[in-house]
Amino acid sequence: MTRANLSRRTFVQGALLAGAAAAVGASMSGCMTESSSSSATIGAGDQRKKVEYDEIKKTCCHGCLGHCPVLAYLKDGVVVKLMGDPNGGESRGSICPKCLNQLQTMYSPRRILHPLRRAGERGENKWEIISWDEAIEEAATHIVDTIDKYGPYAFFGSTGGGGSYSSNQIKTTCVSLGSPNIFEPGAAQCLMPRVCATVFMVGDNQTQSVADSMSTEFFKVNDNASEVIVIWGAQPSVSQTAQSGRGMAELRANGVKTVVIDPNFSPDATKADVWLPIRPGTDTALMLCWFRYIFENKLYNKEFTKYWTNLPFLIDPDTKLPVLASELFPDFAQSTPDDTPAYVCFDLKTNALTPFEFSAPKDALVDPEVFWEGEVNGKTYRTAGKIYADEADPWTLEHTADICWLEADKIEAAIRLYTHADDDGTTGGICHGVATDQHPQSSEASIGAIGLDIIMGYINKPGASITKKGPASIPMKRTTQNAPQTMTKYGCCAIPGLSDAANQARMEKAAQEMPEIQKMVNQMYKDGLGTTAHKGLHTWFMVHIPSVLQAITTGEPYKPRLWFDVSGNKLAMLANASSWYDAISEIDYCICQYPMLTSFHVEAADLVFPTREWLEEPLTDHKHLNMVFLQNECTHIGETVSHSIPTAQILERCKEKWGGTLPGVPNAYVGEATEEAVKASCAKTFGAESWDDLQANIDTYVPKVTPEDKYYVYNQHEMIVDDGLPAGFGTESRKLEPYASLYLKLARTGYPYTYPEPQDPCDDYSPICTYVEPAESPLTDEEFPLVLTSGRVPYFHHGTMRHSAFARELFPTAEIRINPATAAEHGIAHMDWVKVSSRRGSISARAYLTEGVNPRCVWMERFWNPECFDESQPNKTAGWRECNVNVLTKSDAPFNPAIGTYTNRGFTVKIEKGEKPANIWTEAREFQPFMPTLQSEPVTKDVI
Amino acid sequence: MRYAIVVDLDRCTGCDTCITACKYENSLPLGVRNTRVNVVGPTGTFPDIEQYWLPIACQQCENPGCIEACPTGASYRDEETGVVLINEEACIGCRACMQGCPYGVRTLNPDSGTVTKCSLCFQYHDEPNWKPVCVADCCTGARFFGDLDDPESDAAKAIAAAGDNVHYLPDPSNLKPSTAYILSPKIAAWQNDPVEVARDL
Amino acid sequence: MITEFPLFMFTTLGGLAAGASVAAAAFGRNGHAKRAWLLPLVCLALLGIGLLGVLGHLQRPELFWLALSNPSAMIAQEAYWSIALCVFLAADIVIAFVRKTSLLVLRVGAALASVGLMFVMANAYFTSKTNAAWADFSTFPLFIVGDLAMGFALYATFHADKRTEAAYAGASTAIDALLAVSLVAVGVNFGTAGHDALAFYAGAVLAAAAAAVDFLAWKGKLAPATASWVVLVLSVVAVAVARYAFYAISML
Repeated sequence: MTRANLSRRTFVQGALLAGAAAAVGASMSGCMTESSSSSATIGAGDQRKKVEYDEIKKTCCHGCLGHCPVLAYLKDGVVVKLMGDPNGGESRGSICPKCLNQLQTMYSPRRILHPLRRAGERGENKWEIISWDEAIEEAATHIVDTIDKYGPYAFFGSTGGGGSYSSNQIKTTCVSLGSPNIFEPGAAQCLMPRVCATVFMVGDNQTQSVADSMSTEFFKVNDNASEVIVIWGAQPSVSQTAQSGRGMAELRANGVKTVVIDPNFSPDATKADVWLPIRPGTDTALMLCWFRYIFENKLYNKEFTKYWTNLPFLIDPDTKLPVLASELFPDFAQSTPDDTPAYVCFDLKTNALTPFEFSAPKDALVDPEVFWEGEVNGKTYRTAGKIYADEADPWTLEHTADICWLEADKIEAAIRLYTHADDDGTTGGICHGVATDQHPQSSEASIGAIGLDIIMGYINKPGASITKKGPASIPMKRTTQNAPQTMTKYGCCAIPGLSDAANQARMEKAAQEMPEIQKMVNQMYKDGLGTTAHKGLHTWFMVHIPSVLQAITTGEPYKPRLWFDVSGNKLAMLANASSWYDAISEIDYCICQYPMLTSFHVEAADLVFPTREWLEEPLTDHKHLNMVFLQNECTHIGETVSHSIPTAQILERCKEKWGGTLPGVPNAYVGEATEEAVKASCAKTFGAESWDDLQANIDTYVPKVTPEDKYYVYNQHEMIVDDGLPAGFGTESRKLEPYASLYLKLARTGYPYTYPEPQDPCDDYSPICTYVEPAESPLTDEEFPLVLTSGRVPYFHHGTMRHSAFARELFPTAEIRINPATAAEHGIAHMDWVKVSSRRGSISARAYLTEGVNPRCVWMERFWNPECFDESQPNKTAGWRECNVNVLTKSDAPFNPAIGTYTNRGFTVKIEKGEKPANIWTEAREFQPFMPTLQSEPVTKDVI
Repeated sequence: MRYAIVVDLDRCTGCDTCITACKYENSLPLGVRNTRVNVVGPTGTFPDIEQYWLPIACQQCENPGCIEACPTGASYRDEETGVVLINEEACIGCRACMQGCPYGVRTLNPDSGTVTKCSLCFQYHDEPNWKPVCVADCCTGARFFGDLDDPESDAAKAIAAAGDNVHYLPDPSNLKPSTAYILSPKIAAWQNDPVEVARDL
Repeated sequence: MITEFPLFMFTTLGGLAAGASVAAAAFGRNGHAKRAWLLPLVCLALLGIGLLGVLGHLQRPELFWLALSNPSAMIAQEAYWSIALCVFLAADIVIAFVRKTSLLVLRVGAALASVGLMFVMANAYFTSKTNAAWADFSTFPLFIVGDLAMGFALYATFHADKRTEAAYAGASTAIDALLAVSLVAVGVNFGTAGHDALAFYAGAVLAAAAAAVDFLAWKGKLAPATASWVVLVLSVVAVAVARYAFYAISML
């Protein structure tokens, strides 16, 4: 008999078994019938059953922003199975655990099916079910009373992050009531910095964010032109697993090169050609290094930089703004229209400073020097390019490696890949993720990342990150800033790209047609809490979160009292969560809406409206490349409603109470008030006659396809328009503005937002990428020596899915990724519980030991624990204190100057051995109470 | 016929969709999986490291150790397709098959008292486009399915295209696992005796 | 309690019965021994309780009879040999009760069935693909020598007079000494495989002590009845402790 010569059986270490102890499992078997399928025999005694269904509905997932097209299988109105739609384009039929686990969250015992009024004290999690009418009446009564007593600014609203359905609704609710105070934990900490920079520098809001705009160019399925992609602070494979995650996998398999800049050895990093494990909070230093190397080695696109960017413009050393030709050359008469000013450059043809008019590059009269410095009228002037190069000068490869904890040769390798220094490639782009939006260098990092693609000429071309799509992008006139503002239609906000006269005319027209509204909106911009210091918040008409908290607790400059939150768990997502908890007692009344109760509802809410899960809610505008898909109503239970309905209904009721008018902007609310209207709106999007027509003929309507040759449009900026010139970009100069001078105007007057009436000035915001050492720095912090950063795991999206049993059994607890050498210093073994502390507080997490993080760096995903208030817990807690990284995050100054961003990543912590908190579940079988139970709920009709 | 799955580890990012989809399709309760995905690595010392994920389910061995160990004959091979299956009606939950499998791909389902494992979604084998849900749902397009004896199948074509980069799990007992793994050196070096890092305690 | 406790019970109690049945055939030409049916009855009872342990190991014990279906499976073979042993023991009990003496052919049959059973019990673990420590040659003596040692000791409690007879006493001393050596071998194997080996070394010490008591009793230095009980306790504890540690590393 031969000996079974096994070596270490380590490769079977992961085998998972429940052991002899039987667990009572109420699995999905309730949905499966016992009878075998009527089709052919299954096999000799094999008892596996096919999932029985009687209907398939086409829909989209909303587990994250991927919105992957999905097929829902139903049996007797119960959704029993989900599969990807193979015609989904980028996703190619993939779906991820976030999608699949909707099968549990849709039918979760944690769902709210009826309006709830708080029954005990806040924190007790006691509720009574009330009728819709009662709930609307109660909400409206409180709102009307509060505003009558304290004015509209006492009302404030908040929403969730990307993926939340309800951003516009709460914003326009506030505007309808006359309050400017809206925030979301993301916004200034997520995407808004990048949008602000893109709008100012490119004139459009097509950012480099793969997660938010689905980077339709990178993931083009046919004739993909991508060559090299720099994934900067993003994890496509984790955040949008089945969309851009799938897309990245296909690109890599096709030979596209990738560079990943991430402190964590993320899945995308494991496949990258170069991984730069950057010290959290030092991205701007690395960007400046890239600028320096690219400038020094002349790797930038020279023609593009000269003629399509403002880097050759002379900059006034006092005003820091580009010098207009008329300022230095008073006799110069420009030939371009008023909306396209002429600037000044140093012309290499004449070796003199010369007016520099806008034109097609081939028609240019000058050959501008990008990096010039010289004396004019006794003062030293530099071009924008020279200013940038001077700023970047200290950032040699070696110095950068030192500050950023990287290796110089790896940095160089990354740059050379990006710039095709050693190959014939011509295109590329930066996929810029949320990481840099989460700390106080958010605007500078956005400026830097966009600036890099600009100087490389990776704009509007095949394979680039920053592109515009669709027939509507083909310009007829000089391009103006395309950043749809909720407020622009009220005669506020200038539109860069229009001449001063044209902007003025708009204002005057509004002043005649709607003077009160114009004044009110302009005033709201100025009065938004904290916006005087951080005017970039006007990008999304939002306010500064720490300023809101301060106003609540101090009453200065006024006291917000009534809080309407429309999505998520604010105590899990706001920085320095404990500070918010302490302020809850100052809130008079809190109204919420969500599909289930979270820590925030337990601790703060007085009234909660039940909203639909994505399997129930009709929603549209889910774009995938050149196709638009429908998120369909596959089923419906309880008295849940689509997201826009509670706020719409409450506003109607308030209006009645106020005798027919609301205190804010009339007819401002965006969103439907009834399910019928929601469905009609969806039908209209697809060109169907009605919702029924849409459903009956869904395959002809969905997806709505723009033919590829009409969708994939390039080089729009070069197209000649009605003034005989190239359309250009939606900026003041009609060119790309890597020297983002609008930031200066923004700081000084709030232009283009607080216009016509300016907002008080604050210190200038930087128009270029600059570096500042993080306020809490591991270089000097002795008490908290490790630097912490965050990221995602594929099971959850923001605060969602923590109540899915199947998600939790795979990833049960918060984890902190620690380098084994660091762990050993503290006697911490793999999967030990550790205590993590910052200056704000302490939490617990399990240690995941990995060489994938720097020994001086740790990495944690966000986590809150819904099991903490399960019925079985003897001492219930709300689940936001135990393992939530936002107990540690930093919400005080310094903030990003332009946007007010606080510090979610790149702050300091310490670790030590710890203990499992009392209420936390870790073992698979413990999550049994989260298993779905509502499949037997009757399918209900529309409620409102 | 020899139906099996080929996994391209160059693509796999460890998202656990395969585990999750399988649970739903096969009504598995908490604590029970037909497949596992653990990480191999990071190997090396920061920052010079490499890593790959290793999804492991029934390897569809040509000489399985499970069938001969099963006293009731519940573990058997389907003659036509070659798929190793479990007849749950005949399974008494003795777990001898689990002792016979070095890859740990079988799990006791405490609800039913029987052992479960990946069956390649055999309940659909009579359908023309038979494809296990893990293959259909995979978020990186890393899984290929088909009859390895049919050169036109996705699985056979994936193996052919991978050349030298095809690997199998260690097989000291000559069980001949059919599940092929593709891993190219630019991602990581295949480990013949991989150390799987799990978070299961 | 380890997960494999039911199987531990089966192989320990069943092994004890098997070993005693071998002893009864090898040394027991007991002619007209009073209550010749008692030893086989005790063996049958031990085996019966052990088989209940097997039922406890099954998740669906009501279908246990299906386990006879596949002859190549070790569990099936354990079933076959157990059934054969039960049949021989039962017949032995009945005949011995009626005729007041055992039929040698039944005892030999029981002994052969016992040898088969001891072998397949060991082989079930030797063929395991999940535990390198189990799939080692030292597994065989752990079971077979252990069963014989326990069984010989149990036999002597019924026939303490054999303690001074060279055939039995020499065999029992040798088997207990061999058990000590075997447990050391198992301990070395487990230690090399990265497991804790203390239990095996402890068992080896107890087995060596049993061998010493065997020898002293052989030479008349100890009272036979007392010595028999002491050796029974020492050998059973040695084997139980070792087997428990053996099962404790189960991956299931």
